[in-house]
Amino acid sequence: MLLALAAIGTAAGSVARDELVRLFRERRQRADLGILAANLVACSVAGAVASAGPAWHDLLALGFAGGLSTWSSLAVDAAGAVRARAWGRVALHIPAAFAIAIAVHAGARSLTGGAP
Amino acid sequence: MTRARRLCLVALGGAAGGVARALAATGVPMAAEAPGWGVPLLLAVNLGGSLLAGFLRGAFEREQQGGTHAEAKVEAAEALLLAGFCGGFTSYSGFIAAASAENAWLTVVTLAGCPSAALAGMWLSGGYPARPAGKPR
Repeated sequence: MLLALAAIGTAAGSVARDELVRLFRERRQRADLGILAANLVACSVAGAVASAGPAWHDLLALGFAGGLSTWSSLAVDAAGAVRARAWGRVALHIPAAFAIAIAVHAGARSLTGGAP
Repeated sequence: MTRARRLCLVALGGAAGGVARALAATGVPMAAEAPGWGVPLLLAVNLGGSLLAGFLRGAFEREQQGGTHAEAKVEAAEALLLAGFCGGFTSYSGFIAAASAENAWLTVVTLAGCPSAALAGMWLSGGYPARPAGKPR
């Protein structure tokens, strides 16, 4: 059951991420901002369902949020920024994004009744 | 490639990546026996996924520059393996949920390690030298 929920949720999350990245690439020529947006939305979803039942957790936190968020694309983008010596982009996507994501996750968690 | 075909490939790869991540989190015997193994396993998943993604990105860049494969095939492989499998396998939200003052080492190693792993993957694929430093992506 867990694997089925994880598969369905991750497939949906991955499609949503790909579309979000495409929108940012086409409209703002910044695919990296699409990855950032997907990761922040996923952190808010994961925080919001942190105290939900096991099935919802498997579908939404492990599955959907896990598929919507990504470390691999972020890491490849950060690696590209290092290669291009774009240090501002590295700072935005690694330490700054981490701080924002922690705040978003804790905020969503406390809003839905879970401990921050 | 049509958008519908790309989304199908991303969904398929993402589902496989999600199942692989769930198996790593729950199916590995040591994780089931001792919950404390969950955090190191998540770190291994994110580092491994970043290494694989860097390798694939480098390989795809090399293929596109060399023109040895049809562009459509590279695009399909990118959707299935990079955006799909690697994206679904690694998890930023899982990392954020696991990050806490008690395991600050996870934060430091992940933040430094994942981009480094991606760079290492690009270098291993031979795709790294193809793009000179300073040139925007």
